Amino acid sequence: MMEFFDALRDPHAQFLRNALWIGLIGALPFGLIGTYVVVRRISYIAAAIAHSILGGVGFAAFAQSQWGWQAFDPTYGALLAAILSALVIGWVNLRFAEREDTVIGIIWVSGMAIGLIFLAKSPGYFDPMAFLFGDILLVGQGDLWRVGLLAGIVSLICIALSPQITAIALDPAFARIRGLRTQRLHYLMLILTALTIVLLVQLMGIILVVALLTLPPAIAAMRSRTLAGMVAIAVVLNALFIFGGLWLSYSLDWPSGPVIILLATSVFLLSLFRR
Amino acid sequence: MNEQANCSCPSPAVCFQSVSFAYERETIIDEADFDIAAGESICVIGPNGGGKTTLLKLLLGLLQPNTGSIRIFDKALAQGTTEVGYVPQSLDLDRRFPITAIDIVGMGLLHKNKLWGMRRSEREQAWQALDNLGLAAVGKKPFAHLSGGQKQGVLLARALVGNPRLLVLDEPTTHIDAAAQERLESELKRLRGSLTLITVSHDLHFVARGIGRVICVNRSVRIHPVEALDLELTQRLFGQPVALVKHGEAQATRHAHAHPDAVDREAER
Repeated sequence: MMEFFDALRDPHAQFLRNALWIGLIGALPFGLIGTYVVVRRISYIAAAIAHSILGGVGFAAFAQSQWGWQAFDPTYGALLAAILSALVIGWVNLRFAEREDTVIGIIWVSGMAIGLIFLAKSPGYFDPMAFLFGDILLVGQGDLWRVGLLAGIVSLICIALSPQITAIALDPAFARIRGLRTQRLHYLMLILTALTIVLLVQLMGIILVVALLTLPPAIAAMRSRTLAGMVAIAVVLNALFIFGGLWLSYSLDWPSGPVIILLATSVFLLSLFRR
Repeated sequence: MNEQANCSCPSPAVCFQSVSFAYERETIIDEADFDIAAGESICVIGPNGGGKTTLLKLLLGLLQPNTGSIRIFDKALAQGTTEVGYVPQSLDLDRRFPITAIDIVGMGLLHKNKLWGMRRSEREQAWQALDNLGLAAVGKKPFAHLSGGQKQGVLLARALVGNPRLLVLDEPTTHIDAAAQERLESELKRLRGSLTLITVSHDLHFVARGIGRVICVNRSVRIHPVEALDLELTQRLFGQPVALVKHGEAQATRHAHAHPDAVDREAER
């Protein structure tokens, strides 16, 4: 443990401090959005959005390398794909709920297929594996500010709208009867989910993002009586998993992302058996 | 038979004018034309699949009619909905959804511009609404862990906390035992007259208590005085004769469950 703290103080180990900071700051949007995702039981929607991003990234990479659209950064491509996927899924959820799972599956696989084809035609530009698994140790200073801004926006919106978000998650029909703009709220939450995923997928990879979005709130739901309590526990667990995962990864010299995921999974299983 | 008037009362709580609703070309509600006076207690009955739920959703603004108009307290439905308290048949909550009974009741004070959490005054109002129903003791318990009767009491408190002028109950006796049914009945008795009460129910025993008129829904919508609910009418409506037992008599009433195909078509009368 002491070696890990020494490393954190090492002036040459900025990457480790950045990874820790990104985990701690990201814990806030992960805890808030993750709680919504878990209580609404839409984890598969979050996973589909996360995977569809590859389509946008691939298209932007192709546009940059083949058409010279230098301003079209892959981040914008990812953002475009995520928001588009969120809106399509949201629309299908409202209009054709019975076909939702099919549409989610299509968006999931076609987004990845499109991305892989575009990336294949943009040689030497991008490694899809890095996108799938990411590397939290490559986080830069600019990323910290971006995630900080996201954490601020998501927290402000979620806390301000908490009664309305709770109502649409709990009893959408009653929320409509009370005059709440349930469709707008539904789309807003999906867009916030997409934003959270886009910003953090590029730093942590799809797998770690889906894990941190679902596992901490799922554990928190077993231990809390209120939604506010669930969010608080999920935020703390997120931070602990990042910290503990990085420490274990550093000590064992194992890749950090999978260690964080396995740590979270182990705690989830323990909570399940100790209910 | 007292056929419905065309919104004849001067200030009706509910006014349906030529309301029709079809789903995928199948007519569910056909030219419903009726009104309910402010302060009236009325029941909606009909066979499963006959359109009760659709009528309820139209009344609550959850569905839009294909033709016709619905007014609540003389206002178009969209503006009138916050004056309506609604008790659903049940709230099938995932046991992992962490919410306490008092937070559920607080939802009854929501409105479209509501921001931040419950204020202290709103929380006190919610506690008062629970206390009025003798349920203060369960306020801090997780909603998912309550009994059927307690859950329904909490949902009733949620509907009443905003002081609605119209209370709508959907199949209130479905998930509760006899004791909880008695408590519900005495609460509704207390509320009768102070607000307009619409109860959707397949339970004709429950319907018979303290109700003046019934709305019979089987694609067409007809209003009858409760005394007219004789064997002949229930035979036409449910496809089998159902004897109505008035309050205080032996509970020999059979619950009516009939396939919609087996029931009469009021329009053929």
